Amino acid sequence: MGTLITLPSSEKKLVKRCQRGNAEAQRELYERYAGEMLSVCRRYTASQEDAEEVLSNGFIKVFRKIDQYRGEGALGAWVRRIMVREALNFIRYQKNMFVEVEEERQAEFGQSNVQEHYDAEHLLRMINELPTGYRTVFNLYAIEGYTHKEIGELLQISENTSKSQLSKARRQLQEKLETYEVLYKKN
Amino acid sequence: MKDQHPIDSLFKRELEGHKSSPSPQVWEKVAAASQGSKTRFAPVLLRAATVTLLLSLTAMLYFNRNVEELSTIKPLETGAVSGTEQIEPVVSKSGEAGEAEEANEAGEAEQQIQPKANNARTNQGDAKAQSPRQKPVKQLRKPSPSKASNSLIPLMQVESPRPILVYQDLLTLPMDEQLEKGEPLYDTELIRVRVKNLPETRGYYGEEAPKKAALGEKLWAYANDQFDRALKGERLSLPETDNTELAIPLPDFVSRRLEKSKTK
Repeated sequence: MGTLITLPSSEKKLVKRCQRGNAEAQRELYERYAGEMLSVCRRYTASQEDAEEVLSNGFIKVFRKIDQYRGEGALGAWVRRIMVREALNFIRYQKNMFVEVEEERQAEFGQSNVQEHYDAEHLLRMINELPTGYRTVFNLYAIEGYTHKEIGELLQISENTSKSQLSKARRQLQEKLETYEVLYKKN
Repeated sequence: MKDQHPIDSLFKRELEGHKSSPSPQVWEKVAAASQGSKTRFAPVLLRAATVTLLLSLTAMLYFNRNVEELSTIKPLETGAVSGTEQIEPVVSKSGEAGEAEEANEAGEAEQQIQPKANNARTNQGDAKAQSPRQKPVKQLRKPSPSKASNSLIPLMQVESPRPILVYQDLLTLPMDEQLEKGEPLYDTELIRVRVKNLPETRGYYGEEAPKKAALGEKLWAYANDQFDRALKGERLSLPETDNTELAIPLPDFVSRRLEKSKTK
């Protein structure tokens, strides 16, 4: 006689319940991803308030578009894509990102300049202090893994502009890291 | 895979799995919006049903307008041209090869091959009266009524004050060949003809005729438009059409009933 095995509630079941409009399932999905997604939103916005606004709007879209999720990729990656898009929309709505376009050679950084471990909150703050254009391109390229071509299409800018913004972002971050390191060592 | 810049790899490594705790107001906002979208669902369905009803009423409007026209149609007579009726063609034999002109004009084609039925309907007498060049014609036998009754399903009879152009479904009109040889075009006793009204405004300039949207696509576009209007809270509108002569064929049993009521 076969034994009955109860499977844990999988993402698929959670998605199906959300597609039926189950409020509990929506809450469960929110609880599962809200923390990680808020961190994503914070990287793109300048303040915690803006990040939370993007997060709430992003989750509203997630629940409205949950029927379109076919289960082909990880649910977390799908939610993350929506959040990134929502953050970009928010930035576009707020202001024009790219006022200054300047060709510049990529600065070279030595591996020794970078310390092994930093506090994530400090790193987030460094990103938040960057100008919007630098911050957006750096996030998309360095953390999300988009290419300059894809960034150009997403933000309606040229590839060279994307490269230039990334280079400037790296330079500013490098300076901030060095300052942080000095302060860290002093303390 | 691209080589990662040390700054990039540092930030990616440290921030990729990082989590922050959102304030409770975020979920409240999300939950309120989700509940709101549920309550809007019913009115949307109601509005969609309204659009469907409106479409049905529009169809009925056209239907009723055409009932008057259809009720005045004369009963089918021998030789009358109808949509899918099989009729007896009259094939002209022109022996004068020198007078053969290019057959790319529709009027010429009409003179060369013209169904007898068309002549009968327009009361223009026989084929000789139309063109002095035309010689006695070879007439194919008309099928017996018993044979025809099995295969003929007259759907609609259309009268038009404009000249009509007759196309053949079964045979392509040999435009390049000279028709003056007098060879019979058809070996079969029956041919099917399709009659098309060609309005004067139907002309176009170009290699291909402009494509018109199918009725289904038009209806779909109209329904979408009305749906968007309903969502915006705007007033619904009747479909716009430039074809004021749109006719919807009546079902056969309705046609027969109309005929009966008229004979009484």
